Amino acid sequence: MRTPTHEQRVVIETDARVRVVRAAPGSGKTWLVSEVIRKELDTWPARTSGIAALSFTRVAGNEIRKAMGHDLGHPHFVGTIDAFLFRYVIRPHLRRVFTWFADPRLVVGEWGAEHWARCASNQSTTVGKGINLFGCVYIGEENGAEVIAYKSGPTLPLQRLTGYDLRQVIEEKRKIWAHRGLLTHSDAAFWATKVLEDRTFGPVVRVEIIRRFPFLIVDELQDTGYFLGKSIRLLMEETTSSGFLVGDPDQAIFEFTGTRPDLFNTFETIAGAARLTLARSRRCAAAVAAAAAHVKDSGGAIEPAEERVGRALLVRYSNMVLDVPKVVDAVRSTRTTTLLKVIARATSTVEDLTGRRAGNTPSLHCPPLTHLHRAVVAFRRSRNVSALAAARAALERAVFQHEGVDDEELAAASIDPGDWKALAVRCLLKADAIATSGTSFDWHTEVGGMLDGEITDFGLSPGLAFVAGRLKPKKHRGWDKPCANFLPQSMADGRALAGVPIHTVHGVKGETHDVTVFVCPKTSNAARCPSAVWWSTDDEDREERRIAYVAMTRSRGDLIMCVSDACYQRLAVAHPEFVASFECMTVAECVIALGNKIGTKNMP
Amino acid sequence: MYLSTVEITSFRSFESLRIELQPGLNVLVGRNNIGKTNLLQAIRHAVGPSASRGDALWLERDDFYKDSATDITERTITITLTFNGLTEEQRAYFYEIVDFDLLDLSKSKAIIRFEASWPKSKKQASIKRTGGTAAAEAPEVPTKLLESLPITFLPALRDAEASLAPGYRSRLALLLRELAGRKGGTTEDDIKKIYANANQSLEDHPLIGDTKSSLQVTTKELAGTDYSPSAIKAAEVEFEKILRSLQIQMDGSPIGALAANGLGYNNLLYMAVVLEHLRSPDPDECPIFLVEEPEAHLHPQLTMLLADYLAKKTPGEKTPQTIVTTHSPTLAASVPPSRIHVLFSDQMSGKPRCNSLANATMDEKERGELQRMMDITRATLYFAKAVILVEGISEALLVPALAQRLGHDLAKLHITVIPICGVAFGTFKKLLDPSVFGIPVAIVTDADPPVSRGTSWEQDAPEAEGSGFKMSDRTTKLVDIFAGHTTVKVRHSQITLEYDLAEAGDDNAAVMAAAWEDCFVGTPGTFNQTKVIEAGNDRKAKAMAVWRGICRADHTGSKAEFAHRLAAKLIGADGSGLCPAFFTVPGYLKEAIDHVVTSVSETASGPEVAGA
Repeated sequence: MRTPTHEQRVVIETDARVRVVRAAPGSGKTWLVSEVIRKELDTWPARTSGIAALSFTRVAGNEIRKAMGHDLGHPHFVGTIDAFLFRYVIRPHLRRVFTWFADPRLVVGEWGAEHWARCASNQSTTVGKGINLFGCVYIGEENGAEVIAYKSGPTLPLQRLTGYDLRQVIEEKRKIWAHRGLLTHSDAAFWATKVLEDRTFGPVVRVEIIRRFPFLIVDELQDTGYFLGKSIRLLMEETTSSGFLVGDPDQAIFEFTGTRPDLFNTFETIAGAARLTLARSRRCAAAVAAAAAHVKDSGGAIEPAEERVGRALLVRYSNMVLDVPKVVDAVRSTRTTTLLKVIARATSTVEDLTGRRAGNTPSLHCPPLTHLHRAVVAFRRSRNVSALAAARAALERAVFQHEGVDDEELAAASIDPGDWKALAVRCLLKADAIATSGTSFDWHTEVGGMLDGEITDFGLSPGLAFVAGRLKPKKHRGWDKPCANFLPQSMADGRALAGVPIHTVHGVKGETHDVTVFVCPKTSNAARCPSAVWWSTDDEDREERRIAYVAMTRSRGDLIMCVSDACYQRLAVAHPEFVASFECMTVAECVIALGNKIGTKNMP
Repeated sequence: MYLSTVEITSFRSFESLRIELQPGLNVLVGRNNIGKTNLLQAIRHAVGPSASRGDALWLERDDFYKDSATDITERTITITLTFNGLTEEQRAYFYEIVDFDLLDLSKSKAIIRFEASWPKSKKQASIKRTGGTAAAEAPEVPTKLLESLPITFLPALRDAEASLAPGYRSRLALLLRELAGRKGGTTEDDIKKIYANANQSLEDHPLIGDTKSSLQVTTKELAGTDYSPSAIKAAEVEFEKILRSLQIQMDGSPIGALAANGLGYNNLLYMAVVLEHLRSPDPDECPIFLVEEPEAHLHPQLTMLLADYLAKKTPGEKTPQTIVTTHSPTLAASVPPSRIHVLFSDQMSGKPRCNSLANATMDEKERGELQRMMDITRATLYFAKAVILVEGISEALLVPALAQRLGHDLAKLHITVIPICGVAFGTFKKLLDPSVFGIPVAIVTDADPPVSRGTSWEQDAPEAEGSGFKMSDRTTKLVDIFAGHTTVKVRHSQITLEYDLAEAGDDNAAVMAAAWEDCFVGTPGTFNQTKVIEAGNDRKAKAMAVWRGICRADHTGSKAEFAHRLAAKLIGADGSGLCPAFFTVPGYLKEAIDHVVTSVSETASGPEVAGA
């Protein structure tokens, strides 16, 4: 069994009702959480109440399970905060407190709610200037009113809704809730708070939940949005509750969902809460810790893991697509057994590096085919959930002439939901298998034929308006461009760079590697260069800094950060101390260095 | 926490059924094939195999309700179990299936919904168990929660001997294992140590030691030195196997003597073991005990003792809720009526319906009266399709005979004639309310008009009113009590049974006189054939002679014996009802018989009419 460090022992043995722990990267947080659970279970007094171990992502929940060595069954709960609030607050209590609500249903990702044009036959999900109601998130409160924001594009920042737009979103959302009960995760967090703080029923609900879960553990506290956090706070304010809340505000990187790292402080002010710190990293070697400390949002140093050996290299490239694989190859060839990962801030960088970048989908004026094209693009980018949602949207458009067809509507058309899903998967896989050698029009035509055939073979009831042979593209602008321009390479072409897994930073959160290759793409806009963004005081840029921090603290061995020549020059001028914390070299120098002595051979 | 409501649709014989249960003992009575077993199986299916102790549980295609043999409609079985009386801890533990009442938490309920469908194209049924507030996308109930609602099921054809005997199926081993688990500490190790020591002593015994040495020599000669020397070992010490080797038996009986016991005694032993097992469940458990025909193989006195035990010992937080089905009037008569649930065919729809006598809104006094009234004979009404309630044994003997003369075999129609040995018919009013036990009932009673006494019995005369007789206050009140009742009809004589029998036809009095004379060695003086002749041809005068001679005069005859002899005459020597004697059935009795016979016939043809 592992022996806890002094810091960890203090955290485990502190007797406070609520323990709020700030844990540096690699400080043994997951192990600590499982240790706390184990200790509680040893003396757990009742068979009728349990421990709730909550986290922001499913991955964290799985890690807790893994660390525990077994699943925590009933009456305990291990899962996301979203699932917890939906199961224990929303489902049993929402309609009791707000009687005007329809049966609450969570809009699950599989349905790709953000793509819904309608949530029922006559109810649009889009208001104002194309604001999709399911894409709106509750990000806070101001003067007693909720603050809602909207993201108009996948790469665009959240925009706060005001005035007419805000009123309209609230009004339309209310209609959907009253008639359909459809809630996004953000809606659910908002309404969970409303239930828990209700003057009449809130105290009763809180007591009932705490009776079932007298001990709450929240991991990744920094990623908890405003309303999720408020719900947890309301529960923790019950004096019969006790809690173990752990996270690192410097690693808050989910701001696009309304997360705010400053919320962390509010947990520390709960009556009876003890503020504890795990400052010592058990992961990062001194050189890596020193480099990463420059982008630590809250300032201060990281106490390195003394036993670790590792170097921080700043490698400057002139051509990312050509040079980075050389670096990766060099590491790979010399360290066959090390866990090596290549990471980048944006999906587009990952796609550039793997050659899977595709241009915008051309519209050939046949919505089902446009959806199926989008489905294949998502599928080849490993976004299987979005891919399936888009494939369903294609079928819904083709057969029902609208999107957002629910089980009820399927049943009315004598369609089994399971069969319908299977059809969507079949169409997606068949579309993915269609050759991309011709023009965009050729691809769409072939996909249209396939879709026609699949729907006809499926056997629809005569009442539906589907007529075979109509799924054909039009020769609209861009029809004759090569199809390959609009579709990333097939999954079969590989999802790795030179045999090494490649991910976004968000995708490797919580992971530990032996060697991390962190690639920063070239940018012609100096204002968006890491040299400017990572040291900006702007709120959005601060998140970029935290993302860089997460990226730079994944390695328990070497960190190889790849930047463009231009970026390197800017960094050297603007932040010489940052550059000085690395061993700086060109790609060629790096390859030689890697062949010689760099690496993790001294690693324990 | 206890199972308070079971709602079933499209399961076996039930198109839809709802039953309300109570904590402690619930006795489910009803005729054969009405669906008592189906109700128990529905409860088992709702909670599922993970909670099931007892026989295996499989859903079959035949478990889906069919309106008729040719019905091919694809239906969905739904079974909803609602549990009431949750403690704070149970609200917490069963949170996922609790329907919270935030205004009064003590009214919160735990709910399990079972849904099964089986499209023709599928090889397996699709089964879902959800819980809590009704919602479109409710999640499956966690298995651990279902396991916390353990259901012990003792089927009618239980093999008590096999379940008590040592071995894999030993119920005793199950009990001991659970008790050992609860005791914790070193219990298991202590018992294993006892066995290990005994094994060691066995191995050390000269018989074993000498045989071992001798065997080793032989083995060596046989196989050479390549093989390890042979040894003799006692069986491995396994806790489970030790428990399975134990047996419950009568003190002093040799082991394996179960077969020598009577079936009844083994059944009692078996139930004792099961009840002991359920006596103190874990705090997070809500066990339910389902027993089919607990009276199986027991004589009536033992049945009464068992009923008393189940009724008085099972209620309470720490003891299991018990639901028994029975065909035994002895058992039904031995428990308070409030514990009885009657499963019967609804008169209107012909479909099974289940009502609880506890819902009859009886006060303490009424409940007491009904319980005193409900002896074994009267408790047979729970198992009848229709009932004719009569005052005494005379009516009880004569009504079936008269019905037979009208062409109705009451026994074959499952109509029971029950003498209440008095006139307290009002006691049954709440029981016979359509919302409680709405089977067709005819109450047959006498008008019993006040009598103006003459100087002798021959001058006694009932008080007249208009062209008839004045009705007694008691009968007037009884008619009022059931006025407008949809299933109960009160029919009364003009004066008494005997008067009305005689007055119904020209020959009736003579047949009655013959029967009356048969009751005596000589010719009775108060009423005989001569008296009938003296009364002339006037039916009323002849009937008055019967009334005065049998009901008013002082004599040594017995009205019951008279009824018995008259009944014998009416049904003929061969019981065919083809009696040579002319005898007309009195109007009020004919109406009473017609009411129940017609109702039963209509009920029987109800579904066919609906189907057509």
